[in-house]
Amino acid sequence: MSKPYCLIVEAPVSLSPQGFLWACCIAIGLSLLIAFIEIPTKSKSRLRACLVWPSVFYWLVLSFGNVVTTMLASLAVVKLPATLAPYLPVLTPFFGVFGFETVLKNTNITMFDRGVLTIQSWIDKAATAATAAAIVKEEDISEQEEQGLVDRLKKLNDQEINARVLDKLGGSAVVELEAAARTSGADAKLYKVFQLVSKLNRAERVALLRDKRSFWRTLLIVCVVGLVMVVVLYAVFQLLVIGRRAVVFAGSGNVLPFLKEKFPNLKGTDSWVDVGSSGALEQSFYYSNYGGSIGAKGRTGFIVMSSNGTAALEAKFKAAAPALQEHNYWLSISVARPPLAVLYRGEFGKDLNVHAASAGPPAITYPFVELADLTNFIQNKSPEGMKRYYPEEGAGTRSLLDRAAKNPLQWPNVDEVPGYIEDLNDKGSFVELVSYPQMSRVSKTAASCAQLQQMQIRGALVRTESLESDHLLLADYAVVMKVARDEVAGPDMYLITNSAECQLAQALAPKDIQDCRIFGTPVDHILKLDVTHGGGLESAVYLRCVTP
Amino acid sequence: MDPSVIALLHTNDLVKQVFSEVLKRRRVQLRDLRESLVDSPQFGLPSSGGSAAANEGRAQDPVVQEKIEDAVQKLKDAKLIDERQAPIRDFSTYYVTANGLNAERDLRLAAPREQALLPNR
Repeated sequence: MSKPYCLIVEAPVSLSPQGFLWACCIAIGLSLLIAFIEIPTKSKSRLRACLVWPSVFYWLVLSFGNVVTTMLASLAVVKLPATLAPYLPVLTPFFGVFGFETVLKNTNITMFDRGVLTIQSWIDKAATAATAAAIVKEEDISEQEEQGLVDRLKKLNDQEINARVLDKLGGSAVVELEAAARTSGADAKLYKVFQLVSKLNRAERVALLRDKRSFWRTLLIVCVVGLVMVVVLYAVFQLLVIGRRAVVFAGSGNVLPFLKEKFPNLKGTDSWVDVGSSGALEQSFYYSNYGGSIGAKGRTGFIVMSSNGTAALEAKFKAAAPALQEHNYWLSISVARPPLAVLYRGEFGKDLNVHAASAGPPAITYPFVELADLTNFIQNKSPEGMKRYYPEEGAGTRSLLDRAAKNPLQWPNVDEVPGYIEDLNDKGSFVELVSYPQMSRVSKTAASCAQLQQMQIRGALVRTESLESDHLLLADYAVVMKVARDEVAGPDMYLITNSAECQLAQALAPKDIQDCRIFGTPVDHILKLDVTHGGGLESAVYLRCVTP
Repeated sequence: MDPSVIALLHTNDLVKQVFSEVLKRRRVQLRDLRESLVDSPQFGLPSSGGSAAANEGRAQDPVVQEKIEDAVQKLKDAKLIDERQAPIRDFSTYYVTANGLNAERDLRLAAPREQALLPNR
């Protein structure tokens, strides 16, 4: 297992805007649940009787309190371990609702004997109103039911009623009830019916009231409930599935697995356009009408990944007409600088002229090739029968080598670059240039030393004559997205207008980006943030056990 | 809360008991109310020992009926309970109002826990 890849980017334990929305929705749902437990209990009424407007107001008051405490809890959950990050949308409302129920709901703050923040009192009043309304509604429902029962039983003749009274109330009940009715001057039949109705249990009441309308009413309820469920499922589908497609990733196939490893919950990477870094940066120049409609609501996010910084974008920008430059602004976040590596299998280490070098602390021995030897190998010395997996035109790795070699190389025709290291398992000889050797489609991590050894793959880093960064030729993993000028917030303020783009940017550079806004002075309309910690010899752990 | 309501509930034990009974059940028919209160010492009748039949008989006592209906009327006037009338008076239902629930809460808050006024259990 490799160590963190020369960078530094760790997803902060915080709620994304979408996660926060989920947390609030869960808090509101919990409020509904609490309301529909409390009101029937307090009013001793059935749930149907609690569906009254005061109950809605009570739910709204509870929801307001619970959402506020959920917002407060979202500030506190940052102290939780990072492993809990995926569960924050559930944990945050849990803590929020708990806080509201135990603290705020029992809070009455007074000043000079006058209540100023009598939350307990507000909640009690709302609950009392809902309870009282539920009791009245329950009365109405009971009255309707009893009237229905009385009407039905009144249609029976005296013998039938007497039989039912005898069955329900015992042997002498008929005589006693008739006597009591006579004493009070009441209608004896009606009196017996009322007595009978008052002694019926729930099942008997339901049986007497059942009619054809019940079937249609039940069918209607089932249809309405079914419709509501379909709407809810559609909303969830929209949020979870369609919502994930609201961003498109384009660019380097080296940067993508790196991001996926560092951000396992990163959404939208299934919408990846496999195009070289330079090509992706060019598309970013055109994207969203040259930046003119970057603020359009509901636009799809577009995130470019480059393994060679923003050089191609800068060149494109400088060559463009002023009208196309005017609204075009970008944010570029350098997230890592892994060293370029040559992976190979076969006996041509001598042609590559591979050496060993030591560095540290911590002490590390690593194989390397000089840039000049590598460029010579690429242009002149490639043996017959060897597969050459060199980067295609427009790829960041090719640009990196061209730039380092001062003059563009004469690249030979190349074979198609395998997507994963496991694709190189055919024992044939090959050479490949790569800065992130992803092991397999399943594993998001770089291939380990042991895995390379098992596949008889060797490797070497590329050293330049530069004195910087241990002489290593480093890729520059940049994540680029378009931003808009936020003139309302200030002259040097810029805004990320798409929530998916903002979420990723905030995860990459949490200290620099607040509320999707960045402060800074762009160069060639590109704001640059650097969240790497220098060069990355320590990141090339996959080469430590590979000897020249 | 209206001081006259507090006075009513503190000075009249029968009214207090009737209110407690309605609060406890949330809604109750007059006939059931009489049967549940007939053992109350306010009526000055010897205890029947809790037999249902005996209680039903005593509940028909005109004195009991009159006292309970009077207490119910006072609670209605104070808007602590409300009535749903039935064609036969015995089957009229009394249920607690929002004022009644507020009174319950206020009086509970005012009284120490062990001496809580309502409900009287």
